[in-house]
Amino acid sequence: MKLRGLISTLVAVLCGLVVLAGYFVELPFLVSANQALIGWAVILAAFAVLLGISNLLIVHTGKVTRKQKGSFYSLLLILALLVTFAIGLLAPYAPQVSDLFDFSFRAVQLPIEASLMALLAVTLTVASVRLLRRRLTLFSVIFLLTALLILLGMAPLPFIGSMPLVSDTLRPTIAQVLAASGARGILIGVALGALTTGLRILFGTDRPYGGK
Amino acid sequence: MAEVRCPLCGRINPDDLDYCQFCDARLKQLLAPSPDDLHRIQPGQGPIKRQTAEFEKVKPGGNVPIHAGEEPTKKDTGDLERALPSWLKGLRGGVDQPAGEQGAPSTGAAAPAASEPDAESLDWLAGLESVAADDEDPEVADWMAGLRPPTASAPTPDIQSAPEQDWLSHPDVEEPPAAQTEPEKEAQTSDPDWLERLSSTQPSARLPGTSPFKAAGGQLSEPPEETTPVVEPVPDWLAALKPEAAEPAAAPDGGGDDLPDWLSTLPSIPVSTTPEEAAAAEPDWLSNLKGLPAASEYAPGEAEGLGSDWPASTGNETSAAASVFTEPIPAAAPSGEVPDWLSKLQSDVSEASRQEMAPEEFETAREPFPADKPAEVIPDWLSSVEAGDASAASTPALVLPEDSGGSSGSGQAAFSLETPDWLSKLRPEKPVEAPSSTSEEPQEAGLEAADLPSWVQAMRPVESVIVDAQPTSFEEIGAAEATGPLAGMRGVLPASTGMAPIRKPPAYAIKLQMTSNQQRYAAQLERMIVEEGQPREVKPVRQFSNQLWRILISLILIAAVLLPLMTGMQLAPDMVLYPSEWEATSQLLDSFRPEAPILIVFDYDPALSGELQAAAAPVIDHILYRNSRLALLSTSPTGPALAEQFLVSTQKYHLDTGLLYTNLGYLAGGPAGIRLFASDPHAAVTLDVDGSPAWGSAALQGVGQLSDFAALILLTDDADTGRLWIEQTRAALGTTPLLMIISAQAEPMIRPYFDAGQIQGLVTGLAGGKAYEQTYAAPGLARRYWDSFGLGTLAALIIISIGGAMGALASWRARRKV
Repeated sequence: MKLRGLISTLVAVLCGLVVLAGYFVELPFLVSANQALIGWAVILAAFAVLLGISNLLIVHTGKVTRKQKGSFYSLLLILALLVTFAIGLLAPYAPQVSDLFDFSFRAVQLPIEASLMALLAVTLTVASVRLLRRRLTLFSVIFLLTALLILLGMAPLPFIGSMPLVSDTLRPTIAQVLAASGARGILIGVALGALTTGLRILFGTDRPYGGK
Repeated sequence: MAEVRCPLCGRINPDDLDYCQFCDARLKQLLAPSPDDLHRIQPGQGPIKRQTAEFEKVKPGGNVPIHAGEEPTKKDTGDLERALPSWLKGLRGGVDQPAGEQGAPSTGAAAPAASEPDAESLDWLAGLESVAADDEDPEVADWMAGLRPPTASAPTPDIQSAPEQDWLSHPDVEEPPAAQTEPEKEAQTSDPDWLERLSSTQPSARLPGTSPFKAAGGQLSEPPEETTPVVEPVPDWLAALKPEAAEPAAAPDGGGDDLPDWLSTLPSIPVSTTPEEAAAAEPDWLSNLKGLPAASEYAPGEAEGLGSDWPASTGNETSAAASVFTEPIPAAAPSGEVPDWLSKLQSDVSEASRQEMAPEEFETAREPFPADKPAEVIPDWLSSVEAGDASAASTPALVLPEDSGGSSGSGQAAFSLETPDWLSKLRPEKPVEAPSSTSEEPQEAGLEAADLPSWVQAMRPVESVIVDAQPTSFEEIGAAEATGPLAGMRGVLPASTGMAPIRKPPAYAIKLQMTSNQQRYAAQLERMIVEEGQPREVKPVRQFSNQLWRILISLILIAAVLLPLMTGMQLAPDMVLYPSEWEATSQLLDSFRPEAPILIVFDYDPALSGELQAAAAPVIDHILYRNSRLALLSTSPTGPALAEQFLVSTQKYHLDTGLLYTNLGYLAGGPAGIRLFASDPHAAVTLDVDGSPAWGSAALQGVGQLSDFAALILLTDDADTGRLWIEQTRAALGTTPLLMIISAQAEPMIRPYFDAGQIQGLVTGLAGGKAYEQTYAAPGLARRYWDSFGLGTLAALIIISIGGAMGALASWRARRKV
């Protein structure tokens, strides 16, 4: 292992141990060190966002300069990015610019994303219709029947409200027992995975920060 | 009907019997005939035309026939050299060696004598030595040259006596040379012992001379062999022979030696055969020769070469022998006491003619041997003739295997189950005895035509070897039985499958044998293959495209959602069944003290803002009715804008009445930012979205830590975000309750935390908001969305049900069709 890798590993392990100790021991030194390290991580994350934005700008600028396919959309992205960034920088200092910033969000971003979600609802419905045509298997039938039961039990049916037995029994059982059981298993697995990953990083086995 | 005399018991048997009816001895010979036998004209056959012009040229004695009793004149056979083929020249010297190895033809007591003057037995070639000694024939192979003994040029035998014995020893060569001209001289010089004994006991002396009965003394005590069908007691027929008639019978014995005395006295010896026997054995053509003195014509080798007739001919040996011996001379009319054929021989035949006969033998040797005339037992003297011929005329000897092959059929028949024991035992011994040179070998080698020395066998052409290999392999296959009644017998039981002789493979019909079902299947397969090769018309199928289906479904769903919104009708009744978490969450909200700072985190995407706003609006409204101070925070870049938009769209009333809230903006760093905010909110966020100091605002008065908030309300549509907040803030919150307003899609992942008590309140989706709205607030957004949500869900439910059923049916039909 090279010296650089050794140093980076040592730094990573020490930082991890300090932060981990801060969860269990409330010593002033550890608390201060813990907060300082976490503060640095937040700043680095914020810069990472800026770095990502810069990288996005560079890539699409290159597409525009090379006149590749779809360069027009890249140009629109660059213009929107620069305009929004400028409005965001000026918003705290100019109330009109701040209103413009809110308007752009409400008039552009929010409807677009909401429309995409609405399209997703239609797409899911079509996919459900074609599911059994494409794959008539036992699990496909179970999947589709479960979806129908959840919809039937959750939806306020016209004139009748909730569906007896489905809304008060089947749907809660499926969502709060079966689904929750599976979700708990997933969560436990995630927790164990996170624990293992943290230990490997603390032991220097995994070095996502570089170094062999 | 012809009769056959048993070689074993000497009794007369009908000619059609194969085995003696008295002693079960085999009457017919099993061995292949010698090549000379094949060349012999059988009774009833026409004479073989031979070119004797060359003989005329080299005839040493001129045309003057030598009559019996006359003294032969010395002849110089060196003139015959030019008539000799090159291969024979090369063999001239080497001939002696194999002849010596095989022993004297007559053997018996005369064996030593025969080996001594070995050249004597081939004296007919003696005159060639001088020429051959200097002859360097480049055509002679090395191996053949090696056959020449070191003493190839040694003793030059008496060319006058040698031919005499030679033609006797090779009587079937049908050229009794000038030896007949000096029978007395030869008899005086080289009479063997047995011949001397014969002079005293003539009848018995004939036996060893004639090869089948050559076993003199001790040899008769040996088990009868195929080659020595001689019985110890002299058979009746033999005993009945007159001494006068037996006397010339000793001549064959001297075939390998000198001409005996009896030959000189042949003209004076009367015919000893009885008229009946002679008549039985004589063919038609021989009947013309009845007037001839049989003794002078008799050649024992010829008599035995007659096949099955030889025992009979032995009975009247003189006449029978005459019948054979005179076969090449039928045209030669007898004259005086000496038969014409003998006179003809004396005048025509010479050593040169003997040499010239070899090429003709090649031709005649290929004549198929009569199948109905199996090989007979060949006497010793005849075997010596064969050996001598094979060795002297090496190339003609190559024909022998073919002859044996031709007789293989009879040989196989002889090895059938009917083969007597003694004969079965004899057969396997042959290959072992063949190469040996013991004193007893000559008699066996002389009897078995196929029992050639190795060097002679090597001279045979390949095809001959192949033909000859069949019976040999068959003999090898037949293993000797060790136990049981067949003990000691060999080849009696059939060989195993794998060891059996190779047969010609059976012919199978080329036409394929198929059943009707197989033919039908084959026809179907062929039809399918043909159909696959033909283009198939694609029938245009009218079906709705996916795009049309999508548009149709979209229109139905949009109509179902917009219809309540646009018309304002309320088709769905209010909720009757409240969520299970509603009660706990309601109690938690009621426990908030008035004007308490409450942290609300907007961590959801704008796409799900409709659902979450409808779910959170009643709850936030319920809180604001208690004059709670709000701190807005988000870990999503769009969160601060969503928070502002939420307040503007749902809490317009509270905003207008002086709501105290601070938008802390975006909290960067993800989990680290949440952890930092949980441990030190002032360090994590210092300014609000307007750029003002966050913690100095009226809304955040008295808040230094996270636990100072009265409650932490998290609005999220992502389970991971909810999990991060739970994990990072749980320790920092202390007793501060954590309440989550989540999307319905995140419920399965968040509910475990609610059930575990890590979050104290939970509001899920539009239904949860509708429940709170029904309980604590005026009808608002949840109510407005409620009918659209219900109708749209019902439409989707119907579409999925119908579409799913149709799809399943179509898929099922497609499977059935396949």
